[in-house]
Amino acid sequence: MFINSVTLENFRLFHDKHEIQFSANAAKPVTIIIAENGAGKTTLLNAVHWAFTGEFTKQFQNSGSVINKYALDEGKKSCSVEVEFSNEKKRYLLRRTFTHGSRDTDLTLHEYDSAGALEPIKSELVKIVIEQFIPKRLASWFFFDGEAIGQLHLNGDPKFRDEIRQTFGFSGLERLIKTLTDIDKDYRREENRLLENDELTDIENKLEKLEREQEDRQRQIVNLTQTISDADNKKSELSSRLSGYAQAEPIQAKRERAERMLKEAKIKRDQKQRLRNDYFTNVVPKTLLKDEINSLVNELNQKEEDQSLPEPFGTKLIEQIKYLQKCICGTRVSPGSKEEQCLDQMMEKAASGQLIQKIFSFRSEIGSYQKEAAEFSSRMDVLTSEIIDCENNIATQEQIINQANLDLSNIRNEEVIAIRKELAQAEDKIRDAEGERGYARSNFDAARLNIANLKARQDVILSQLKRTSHISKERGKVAKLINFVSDEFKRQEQEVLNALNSEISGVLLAYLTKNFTAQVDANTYAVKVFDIDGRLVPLSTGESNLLKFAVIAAIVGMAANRTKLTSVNWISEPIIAPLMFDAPFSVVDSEYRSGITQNLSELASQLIMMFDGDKWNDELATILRSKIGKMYVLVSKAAGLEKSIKKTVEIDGEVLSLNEYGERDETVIKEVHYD
Amino acid sequence: MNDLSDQKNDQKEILSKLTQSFLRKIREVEASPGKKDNLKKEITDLIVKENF
Repeated sequence: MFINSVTLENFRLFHDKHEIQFSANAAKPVTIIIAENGAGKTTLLNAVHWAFTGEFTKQFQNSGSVINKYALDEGKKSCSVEVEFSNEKKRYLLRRTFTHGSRDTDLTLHEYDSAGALEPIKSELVKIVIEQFIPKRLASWFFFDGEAIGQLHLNGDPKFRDEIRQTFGFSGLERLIKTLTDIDKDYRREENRLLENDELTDIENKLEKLEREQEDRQRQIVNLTQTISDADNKKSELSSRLSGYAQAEPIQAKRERAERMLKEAKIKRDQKQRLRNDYFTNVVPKTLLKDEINSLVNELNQKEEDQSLPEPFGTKLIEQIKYLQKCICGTRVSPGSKEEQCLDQMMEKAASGQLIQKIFSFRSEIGSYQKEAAEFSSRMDVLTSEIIDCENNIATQEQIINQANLDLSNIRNEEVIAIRKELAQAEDKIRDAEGERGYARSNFDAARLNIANLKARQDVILSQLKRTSHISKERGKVAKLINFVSDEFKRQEQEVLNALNSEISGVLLAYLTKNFTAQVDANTYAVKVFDIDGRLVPLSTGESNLLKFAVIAAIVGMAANRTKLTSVNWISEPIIAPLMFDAPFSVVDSEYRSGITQNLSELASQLIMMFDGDKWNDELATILRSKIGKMYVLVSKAAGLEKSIKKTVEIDGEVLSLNEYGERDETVIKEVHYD
Repeated sequence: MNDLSDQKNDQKEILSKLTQSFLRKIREVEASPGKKDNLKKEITDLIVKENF
């Protein structure tokens, strides 16, 4: 979707009618809007958000009347926002109107026909059509208030995960698999009813019970993940509040460092444990066969020594032909003749080549078995000692944390005591929820295995009974579809993760002096950052904001297939919409602004950036020069006598006024011709 | 050999097209929450109509 223009009529600061056109030109997809604080940037962002969703962003709610106050004084009773947008060669006009005194807004949508005339879309379909272009719950991702970047949590917040997956169309695929599975279940039930087979009835009852349990566990896991994420956010907030107290600050710094190291050590220990378990499962059978393998090798050696290995087929025959000097086909084989040389070559091949090859590969395979079996104890010792090192490190960090807790408890400040108490509660909550989630996950996996086994048994029984072949045929088609959608889903999910990792890491490598790479967790979508040695690193606030912008740009760019490092072959249809950013740099350090601008302008299919006058500078102008299709200033007019305060912005050497004095408080939109 | 791979490609194309039409239906349903939907029946009917 591309937005071509927005028309505001008596909407908040905008008295009367004002139109602004956004650049929808693929070569110049950027529109820049510059204004002073309070001049209407957030109002403009919210006008678009409201037109599509009927709601304002969190920061904008309850901030006065929607209808312009002068319009109300003039007896006008309504305000409206019109958005003209296009999607896949079709053009639409969306209009949302609010009338004073009414509870709801009026929404209409028209489609332009080929002659440019407006054709209304049935009122009952309007919301459905709009939802296809931009789902309500995702609108704040695309119409983004820069000041809200702090509320974006990359620590595995389930809301963030769900919204990413909806943007990429994953939720549709999940629902499709669930629906197909239900259809498959209905067919199985129908077959079972017709066949009246006791074992099938038993399997069906078991399956129903297990599937109900699965759904409950799935819900439980989702709820626990949400609890962990909420408690984790609370913990971060409390920790930073605690650091605000001079006495607590150094202890808290020590404690936070130990917590990070503890987390890192636990991850490392879990990796090592997995490695040891895999190694154990793989090598133990070889150690159990160690004696048999050794005796086989000895036997082989002995036979080689005795030259009693069986001769390969053919060598005896060739010897006989040479001895008789006559082949079985009647050809004469004289000593030294071409025929005899040919036989010698064949003999060489049969006798040495093949047999030696076989013995060689047998020896090498058995040798590697022997080697692994012999090294088993020492390798297990190494792996175990690495795990013990991790455990020791965990114990050390836990000790530091306990000591820090003790030191904190000695601070006799009521507020510190209260925060500490809350912090301990949050930590307990995380620990309990993690334990419960682990248990729920292992039950979930066990039940999944049971379900798969029962279904396999059900298939075997059904395939032996021919009476319901018409249902079996339909069920077969559904099974093919389930496999196809599941495989494509898995492939797409993996491609999305790979693309997210490389795009986000690309931004970090390009714009941070340190060599950091990002990794998105496959289950929670938590974004973790690692240093060059693969150690988990904490980010400063500035780096963390850069990371958040990189994540937003990667998501929008991937959905629009505009990424350069990697691409995704989509089966679902991701949401492609303009990225409208209000005050993107309100919380971003100046050193990262150019990088973020560069990245966003490359990845978004349409980008509308709204800056404060003092944030626009030559560096941004240089980066965006070739990409800007439209540029505006919002001029804030104040009622009353002219004052000496003049706010200006310099664009391409021209100084433009950002404030004026006039008959009323209002904002007017002025286009800047920018080449 | 070629016939077999053509057949496989045809089938993949049908599965892919069907998936797209199911996803379109799901988007329509999700756009009007609270309304009773007929998704399972509509998808079942679409599958019955196709041979693959």
